[in-house]
Amino acid sequence: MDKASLIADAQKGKVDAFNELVLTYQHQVYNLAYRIMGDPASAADATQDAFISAYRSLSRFRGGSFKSYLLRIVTNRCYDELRRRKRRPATSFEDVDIDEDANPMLTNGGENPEEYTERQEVADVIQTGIEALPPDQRVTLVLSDVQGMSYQEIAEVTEVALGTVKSRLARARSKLRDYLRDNGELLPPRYRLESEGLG
Amino acid sequence: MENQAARDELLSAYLDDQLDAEDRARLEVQLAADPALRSELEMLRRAVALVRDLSPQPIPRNFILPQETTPQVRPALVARRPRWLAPFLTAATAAVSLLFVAVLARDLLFFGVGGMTQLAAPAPAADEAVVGSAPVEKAIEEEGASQTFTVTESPEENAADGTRAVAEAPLEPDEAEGTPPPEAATPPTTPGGAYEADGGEEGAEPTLVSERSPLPPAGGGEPPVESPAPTPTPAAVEAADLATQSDTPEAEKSAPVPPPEPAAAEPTEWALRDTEPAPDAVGETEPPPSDRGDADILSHVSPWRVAEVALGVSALLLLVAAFWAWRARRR
Repeated sequence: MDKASLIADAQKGKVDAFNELVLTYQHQVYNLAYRIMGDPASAADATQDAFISAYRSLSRFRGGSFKSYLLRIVTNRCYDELRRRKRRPATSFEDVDIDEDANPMLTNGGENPEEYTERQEVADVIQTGIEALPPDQRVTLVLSDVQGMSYQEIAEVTEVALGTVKSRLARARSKLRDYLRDNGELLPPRYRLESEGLG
Repeated sequence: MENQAARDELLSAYLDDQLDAEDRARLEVQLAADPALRSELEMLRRAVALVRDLSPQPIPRNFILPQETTPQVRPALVARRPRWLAPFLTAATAAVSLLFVAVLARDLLFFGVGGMTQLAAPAPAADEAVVGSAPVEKAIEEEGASQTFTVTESPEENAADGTRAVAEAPLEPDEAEGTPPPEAATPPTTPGGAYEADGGEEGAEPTLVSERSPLPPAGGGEPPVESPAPTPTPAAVEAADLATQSDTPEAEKSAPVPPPEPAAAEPTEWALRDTEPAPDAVGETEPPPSDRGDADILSHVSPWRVAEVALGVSALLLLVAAFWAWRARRR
């Protein structure tokens, strides 16, 4: 069954049809939430809330990109959670102790432990740099460079003008570049920005 | 700083191949001439590449919804509901409420509570007597023909006056027989009049009629059937009722043949008004037409009072509708 039919059935209240759409988009929705929120538990909560909200407000969906519709909802959920955290900062227990070795899905097959550790260090530094960005620039950067969306799609998801997307993305990239350059010692040598001939 | 922001935007768009041909050519000329700018672009390219190389995070679980999840908003209802409904209903509520307050204020300020009913009725005294008689009718129907006029204040006072007047009647027989004083021209119209008119259809009628039968010769000297008066008024009927009251044993002891005119010895203001159009109704005891029903009563209710009630109910309904519309709009 194609997506349009699934959406139409879901709009009639068929949960099974909507769950087909959930299975299709849940990776993208969760990854966007994870890059914005920075921890798996908050990302999972935002993702689940977004799907429930998307289903309940499906009558407002007037066509267009269903992926943009879902990503817009999860982005707004993340914004809400970030604002709530700003008012009441708290530490997530799930964020502290994650036994990644116990979950084989967190490692790529065929990767030796050193490579995995190195890749994880790079990912942590980049994620820290992303989280240091203002929320609107963070979302734009993740949508563009993590999700691989076009400027037009980002404009639809974030509901801003195309020029705003360009300027936000340029500022986000510039700040992240400066962060990675200033914290180059945290990265393995082959991942540092200022390698020979560039500095 | 603006130059730095503009340069960052140019470099970022260049990386995404979002520059038009002219801007792209100009930037490439600058890159060729400026090693620092070239280094800056290369660091930006590597930073973006690091982000793009981030491994996708595996999902911790499936996010499918349970079967009992229900949609919150009915699509058909949302699509059908016009956006202007709530503001329109709010404005209509305000307008009707203001009109209601204006009408109510006019009624209260200029005529006092209940003053409207005195204004508009074409035959005010008689009509008000009929309207006001409703509770009396009910009480009398419940308690039987022997019930006296003690149900409401106004009939009670009139009945008392009438009884006292009847008791004093023998002291002034000439006045009763001759030309009556102006205040006696029309007996006061009280709910008792309507009581008798409507009560004639009830089981109490035989008693009342039998008690009233000796009255006409005593009062006006003419039987009610032969009365020349074109339209008997409820006031006249009241006089008859009061005379009937005097037929109680106490009254018979003091005045065997009580004249009916003194029953109107203390007429009220509205009774005097009623006197003007029908001065010939002196001593009339003929009962009013007994076919007067609720529809007749309602037809003489003040239109202002009807407007007040209608506006009040309309304002209330509009308020509820506006509340519902705003609540539905926010969903």
